[in-house]
Amino acid sequence: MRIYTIGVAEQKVAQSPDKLVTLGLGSCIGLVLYDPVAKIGGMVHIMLPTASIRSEVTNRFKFADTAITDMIELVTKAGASRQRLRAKFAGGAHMFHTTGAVDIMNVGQRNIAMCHKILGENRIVIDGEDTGGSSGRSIEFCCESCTLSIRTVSPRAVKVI
Amino acid sequence: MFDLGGVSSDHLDFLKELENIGAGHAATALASMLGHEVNIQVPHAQFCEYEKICDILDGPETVVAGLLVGISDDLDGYILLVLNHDDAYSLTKAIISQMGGEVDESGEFNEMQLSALKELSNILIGSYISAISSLTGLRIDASVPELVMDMAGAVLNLLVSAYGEYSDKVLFMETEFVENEHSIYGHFFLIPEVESYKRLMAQMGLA
Repeated sequence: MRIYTIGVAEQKVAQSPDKLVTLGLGSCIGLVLYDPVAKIGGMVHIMLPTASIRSEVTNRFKFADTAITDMIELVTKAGASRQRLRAKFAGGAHMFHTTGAVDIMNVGQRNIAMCHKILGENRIVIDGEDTGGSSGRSIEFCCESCTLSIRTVSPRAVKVI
Repeated sequence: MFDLGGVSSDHLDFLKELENIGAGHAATALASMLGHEVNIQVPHAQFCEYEKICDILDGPETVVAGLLVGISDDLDGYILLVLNHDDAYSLTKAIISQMGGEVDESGEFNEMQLSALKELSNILIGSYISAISSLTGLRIDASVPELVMDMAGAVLNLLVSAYGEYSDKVLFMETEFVENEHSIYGHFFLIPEVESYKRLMAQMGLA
């Protein structure tokens, strides 16, 4: 068994018995698309909901809309069935409540909403999510059991979805 | 597009100078709280990739104390101070003992230590803001600091929210405070809103 750790705006596709991990999610989202029969899963660490007109998309895995679209292609290419694809995701926390003159604080909520929108458009069932709140999360997806473990340090807890 | 990665060395020199002055003020304030001398090492200022910042802080899962202040008036944005959990713990322990207060030996922050930490960050961030203000002549208002203790990656997501659309790099400034041969690293992130950053540089004739 291998454990792959995915960095910010990165992705990895793996299969049973491997595990996929991403650490320290705040407003970012860790999302997995998987086929529970073929036991193939792909995880992506999303930063922002969508690219604005001002920005140049240099990395499609940074943004929820382009990341999910590309992940569908990557996992199906790796042997997952498009019809059986399901999703689980975690993150989108609101870490700080201070409101400054610049509104950059609702990124977590916007990330969650965009994931719902894109998954819905692609008719992918969401099998579980642990989103929002104000805690950082580390997640681990087990391709064999298709479970997603979510660990928080404040408060210290582990949750499995 | 505004590209933080393309910032000139003039800008970086100016930001280092800011860091230097801000850290100097902060060390003086810290010394008076601790009752003994505090030295600072030459501060760093660099544009750093988001991923690498977490490495400097010992990885995205390291527990840190993040203190956030919203700034407004001539300069809009945020200032984030990040201290390693253990550094913050020993620092507040030293402050509380200096004041003759009760210290929690469990490794967890007690109420007194938490308020000392907020006070400390207020002073550190305040020194920093007054350095920027006096150097640039810009007026800066600061909000009350908000303290979050959580994984470094999660705390630093704030920078992603602010700049992720513009750049893969953020401005990272580090100051090493040395007290009693024990080093404490304070990591400052100046997070001006993009227009404010331009104003800051224009004010210094660096636009």
